Amino acid sequence: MGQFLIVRAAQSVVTILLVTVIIFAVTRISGDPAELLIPGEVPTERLDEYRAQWGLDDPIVVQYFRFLGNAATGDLGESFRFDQPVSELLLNRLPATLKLAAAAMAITIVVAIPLGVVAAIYRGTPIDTIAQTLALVGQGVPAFWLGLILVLIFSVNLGWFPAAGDSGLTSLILPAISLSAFAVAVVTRLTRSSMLDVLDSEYIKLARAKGLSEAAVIFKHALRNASIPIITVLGLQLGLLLSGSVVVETIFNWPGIGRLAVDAIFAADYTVVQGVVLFGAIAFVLINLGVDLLYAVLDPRIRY
Amino acid sequence: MAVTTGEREQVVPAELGRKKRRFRPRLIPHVPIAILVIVVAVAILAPLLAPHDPARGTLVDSLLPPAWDADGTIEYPLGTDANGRDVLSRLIYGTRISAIVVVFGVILTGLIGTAVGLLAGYFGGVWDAILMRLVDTILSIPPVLLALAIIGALGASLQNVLLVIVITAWVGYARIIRAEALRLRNADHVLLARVGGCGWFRILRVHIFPNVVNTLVVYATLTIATVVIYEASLSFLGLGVRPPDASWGGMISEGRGHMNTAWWLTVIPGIALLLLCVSANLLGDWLRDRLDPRLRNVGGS
Amino acid sequence: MMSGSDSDVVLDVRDLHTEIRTASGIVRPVSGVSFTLERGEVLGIVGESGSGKSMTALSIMRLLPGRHVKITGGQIVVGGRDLVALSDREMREVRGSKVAMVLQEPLTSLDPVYSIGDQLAEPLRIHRKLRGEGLKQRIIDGLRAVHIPDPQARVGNYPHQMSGGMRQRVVTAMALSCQPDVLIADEPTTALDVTIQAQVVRLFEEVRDQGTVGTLLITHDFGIVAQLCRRVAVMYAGRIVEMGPVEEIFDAPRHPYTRALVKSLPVMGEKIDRLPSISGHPPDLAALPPGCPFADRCPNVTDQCREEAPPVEGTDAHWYRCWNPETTGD
Repeated sequence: MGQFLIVRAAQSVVTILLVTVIIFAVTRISGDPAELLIPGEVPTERLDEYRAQWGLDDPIVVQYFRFLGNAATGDLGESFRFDQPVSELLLNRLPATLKLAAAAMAITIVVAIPLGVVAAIYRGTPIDTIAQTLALVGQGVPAFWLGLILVLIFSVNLGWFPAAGDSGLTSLILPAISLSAFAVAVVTRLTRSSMLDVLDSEYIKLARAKGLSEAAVIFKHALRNASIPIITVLGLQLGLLLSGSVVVETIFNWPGIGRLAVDAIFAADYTVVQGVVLFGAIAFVLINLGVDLLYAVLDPRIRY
Repeated sequence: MAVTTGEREQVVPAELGRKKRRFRPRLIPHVPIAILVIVVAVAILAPLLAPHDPARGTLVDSLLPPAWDADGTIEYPLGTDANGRDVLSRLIYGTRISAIVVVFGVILTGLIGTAVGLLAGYFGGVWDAILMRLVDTILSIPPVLLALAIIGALGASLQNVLLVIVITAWVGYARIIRAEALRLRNADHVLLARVGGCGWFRILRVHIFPNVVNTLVVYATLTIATVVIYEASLSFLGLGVRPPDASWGGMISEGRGHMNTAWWLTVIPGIALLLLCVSANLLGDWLRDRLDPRLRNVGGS
Repeated sequence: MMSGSDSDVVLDVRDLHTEIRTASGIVRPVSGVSFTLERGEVLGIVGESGSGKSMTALSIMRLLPGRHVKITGGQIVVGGRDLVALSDREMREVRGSKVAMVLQEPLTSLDPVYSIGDQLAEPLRIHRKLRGEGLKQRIIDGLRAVHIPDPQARVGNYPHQMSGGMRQRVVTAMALSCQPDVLIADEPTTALDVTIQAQVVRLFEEVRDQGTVGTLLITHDFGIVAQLCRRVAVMYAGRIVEMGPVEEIFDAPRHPYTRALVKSLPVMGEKIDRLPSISGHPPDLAALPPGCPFADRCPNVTDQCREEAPPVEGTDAHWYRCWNPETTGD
C-alpha cells in the first residue's frame, strides 16, 4: 500500500510537470509571448521593457524553469485587467466554483446512484426504461443549452429561481442541475450496469441462501461491490464538473473561476487564462490520484 | 441468472430475452441511422436546401416566430432571428459545422490515434512508454481548459477549435487501440505470421488492424456526440465559429438575448443538437452491444 | 402437514412442480418430483445438464431466478412446515438456518470485499443472534471444524487470499454454521481439481457421519455418489425416473436411462457433461411428448412408451418409471 502510494504520487508529479510544459508551450505557439501577455496596442519600448523584466530574452529552457519555479511558489503572474496577482484572483473566485461543483456532485450522487440501483433491480420494467431514457438524454444534451432551457422555464416563465448570479440556495439550483446532467447520466448507466453484473454473481446467490434480507443483499453486498467502479467514475466526473463549470458559470453569470477565465480571454488577459488552466489541470490530476487511492482502500484485492 | 448446470434451464430464459429485444432493433439502429444520414445529406446539400441566405436578413422581418405560430409566415418556416435571418437556413448551414467537426474530431483523430496506438502497442519499449506518458498527460488536462489556453493564445476560430479537438481527441483512440494491439501482439495468429516472416507493417495491417476495427467503430461512434457538443459549447462561449457564420452553438448564443420574446432562437438549434447527439449515442450503444461488449463503460465524456 | 411419525425425515418433497414462463410456452424443469431425506444421510441426485436437478435445489431454497420462474405445485416439508406456503420473511428465516446451501463455484461464491470472518458472521448474527466474543468463537470453531489451519489468523483473510479448496471449506463452514437440518450441495466439487475434490468429499463424509444434517448432493459425478450416498435419485426431463440404494442402481439399474448413465460411468473424479453412449439429445422441455420423455432415446421403446406416461414400478426402496424396465442381473 505504501509503495503503491509513492509510485502513484510520483506518477502524478511527472504528469503535472508535463502539464506545465504543455501550458508553457502554448504561450509560445502564438509567437511572441510578450504580445500575448501584454494585451492591446503597446509601444515597442514597453514590450522590450517587459521582455527584460520577465527574462523573455533568456534561453527558453531557463524561461520554462523560471515559470515552473514561480508556479510552484504560487506566483502565477499578474492580471493586467485587475492589477492583481492571478493567484489572489483564483482564490477569490474558487469558493463559488467549488460550491457549484459540490452541489452538482451532490445531485449526481443523490439522483444517479439510487436511479441506477433501482433500474438494475427492476430491469426491464418501466422504471428501468425511464432511467435509461433519462440517461440517454442527459448524455446527449449540451449543458449550456439545458441551462438556458431551465432558465426559460423556471426563471422566465415560472419565476421560481433567479436566472443568474450567486444569491443563496435558490440561485444555486439551476446551475447545479445543468452542470450535473451529464454526470447523472454517466453515473446512472454505470451504476445500473455494475449492479447488473454484481447481482448476477454467485456471492449474491449465496448471500440470499444465507437468509439475508433483500435489503442486506442489495446494500451490504451488491452495492458495496458495485461501488468500486462507481466511485472511480464519480471522481472522474468531479474533475469534469470543475471544467464543465466554465460553460455553466458563463450562462448563469456565476462568479467562479470558469467565468473568470472566459472573461479573461475576451479581455486578452492571458496570464489569468494560463493560471486557471494550470490550476484546473493540477486539481484534475490530484482528484484522479485521490480516486486511485480510494480505489485501493475500497477493493481489498488491490494491494500494489 | 444462471442455473448453474441446467443448459436447458439457461437457454430458455435467454430465448425469452432475445424475443423481448426483438421489437427494439426495428427502431433502434434505423431511426438513429436515418437521422445521421439526414444530417450528412443536409450538410452536403445545404446550398440547395436552404431557402434563404443564412448570413443575410432583412431587419423588417426580424424575430418572426415559426410558421405554426399565428404571427409566423411560411416563408420562414422556423422563424427569423434578430437580424431577420432565416432560422431554417442557418440551421441547415449549421449542420456543415457539425459535419466538419465530426470529420476532424472523429475520423482524422481516429486515424491518428489508431496509428499511434497500433505502433505503440505492437512495438512497446521506450517509444510506447513516452507516447503513453504523453497520452496520460493530455488526458489529465480537461479539454475545455486546454481549449481556453489554446484559443486564448491563438484567437477564436473554427480552425483553432478543430486544432484543440485533434490535440485532445486522438489520445482516447491511442489508449484503447494500444491496449488491443498489446493483447493481439501475442495472439497465435500474429505469432504464426511473425514466424512465417511477415513484416511488421503487413502484420499490423493484415493481422492486427482487422481485429481492432470493431472497437474502433464503436468508440468513434460514441465520441461523435462528445465532439459535437464540445464545438457547440465553444461556439456558444464565443470561442469557436464566429458570426455571421452559422453554427448551432453560436445560434443558441445569439438567441440567448431574446429568450423572453423569441424562444425559438434558443430552443430549435438545441433540439437539433440533442437529436444528433442522442442518435449518435444510441447507434454507438447498439454497435457496442453487437460488436464489442468489452467497451461497455466507455461513454462520451 | 407433519411428515408422518418418522422424525428422522428432515426434508420431505412431495410432487413438486416448477414452471418457467417463456415466450415459446411453459417449460416444466421440475415436474412431479418427490423424495424424502433423512438426518445423517447423503441423498444423491444425478442427471444430465438440464435434467432439472439444480432447479429442484433452487426450488427447495425458493431462490428461483426471476419472476417468470415459479413453484406451481407440491409441498416441501421441513420441520413440519411446508416451505412453499411460507411468506418471504418466514422463508428467509429458514434459509441458512434450517436449510443451507453450498453453491457450485467456490471461487466466486464469497463476496470479494468482505473478510471471510465477516461473511461467516452474517448467518450467525441473523439466525442465532450471536454477538461479540460468542460470535467470534463460533466462527473460529466453524473454521476449525472444516480443517482450516490457523483459524484465528484466517478469519481476517479476504477470499482472494485463499485457495479454491479453502474457499469451498469456508463456504461449507458457513452453510453448517447454524446447524441446519438440511444441507443442499449443488455440484460442490465440479469446479475443483481432483486432489481438492477428494478433500471436499472427505469433508462431506465427516459431515454425514456426525449425523446431525441430511445432505442433498446434486452432481454429475457418480464417483462421488458412490462414496457418499446410500440412496440416489436419477433425474431426467424434470422427473425422477429411478430411485434406490446406490449399489442396486449401479449393479442392477432398472430404467434404461439409468443403465445408460451407469454404463458410461467415467473414472472417479471426471465429470459427465454429455453422455456419449446415449444417442440423441435431451428432450425439448417446452414440447414434451405425452408419453415417456426418454422414449426417443430409449433402446427398449414401444408404442405404449410414446403414448402413455409410465407408471411407478418396483418397491418403496427402489422404484422406477418405465414400461419396459431392464431385467435384473443384466
